[in-house]
Amino acid sequence: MTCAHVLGLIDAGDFADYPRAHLDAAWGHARQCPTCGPALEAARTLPKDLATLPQVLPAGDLRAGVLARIAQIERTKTDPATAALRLATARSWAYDWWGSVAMLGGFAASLAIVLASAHGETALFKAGWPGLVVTTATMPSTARDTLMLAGAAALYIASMFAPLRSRS
Amino acid sequence: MSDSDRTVVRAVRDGNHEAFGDLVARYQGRLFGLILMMVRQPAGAEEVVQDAFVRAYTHLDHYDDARPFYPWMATIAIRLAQNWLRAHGRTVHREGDSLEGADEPRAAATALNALLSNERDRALWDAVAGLPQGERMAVTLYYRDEMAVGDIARALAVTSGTVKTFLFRARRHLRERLPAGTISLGDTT
Repeated sequence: MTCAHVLGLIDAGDFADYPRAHLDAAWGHARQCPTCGPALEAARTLPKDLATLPQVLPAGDLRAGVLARIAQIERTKTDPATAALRLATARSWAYDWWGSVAMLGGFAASLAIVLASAHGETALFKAGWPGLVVTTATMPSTARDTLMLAGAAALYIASMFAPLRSRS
Repeated sequence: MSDSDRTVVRAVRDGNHEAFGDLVARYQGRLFGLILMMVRQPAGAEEVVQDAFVRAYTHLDHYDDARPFYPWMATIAIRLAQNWLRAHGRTVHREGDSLEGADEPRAAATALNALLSNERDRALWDAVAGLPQGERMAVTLYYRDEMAVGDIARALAVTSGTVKTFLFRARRHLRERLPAGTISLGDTT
């Protein structure tokens, strides 16, 4: 048993995994060794030393500070003005949701107008999805189609701004 | 969790907000010392600990009262201390050996020395504060706060194996820094 073995064992801290004979040999070495003996003693007292260190307390009154902030939190929960603010926030979320719906609706409408202008409403709805792909590949080539496209774009932009106006 | 902690938590959940002050009084010293080891400024540590208690109060519904209160509280405080360090441009240590990169370890000792009056305590705190951050936190949580290795791992966001490595290295470093016969380790048996 060498000092390196014993010091390694001391640093490991948890001796439960080691065989009894191994530990006996290590502690036997430590009793006679001027290096390992004090190290073992120090290791034994270290947990107690650390556990019994006095607590370092903050300079201010932490308890009072925390309770004051908690009281403020509780006040805001029951305060009518705060409740109104929470309701307004919830409404703004609702507006955002409706805004998204309006935007998607506007986009769908504009797409329908463009496609209908190129091939006619009946053809579009009869053709279904494969027809839609063919349709988009061939549009628009005339001045009338361009005008319809501009109208659809205007409708799309208007749909984006609609929820903003209703919120203000 | 002690029965006493459980009773207080139930009282707070039942609407007795003032009862939370008992938990603050009970754990403020342990938490303040721990966070001071991280942020190394008494004012900063006080701010973080206060924020941690308020956060714990507002999230008390998420707390499982079958588990000990202090590790849950310490985990919140450590996360907030890491945010504080980020906000103040200081290094935040995370998983594994990145925690080894000790920054200004002596500054922690200086901050603590201003608050500790006993020479012997000061020497021990100085030795602990001089450890790299991962070892310092692990040794403080394990020995002083008596937290389990698994709880320490959760609080520091590292693995249990990493915590055991921190503890192994910390013991070696403390043994080297505090040889027997010095004021810290020789007079307590």
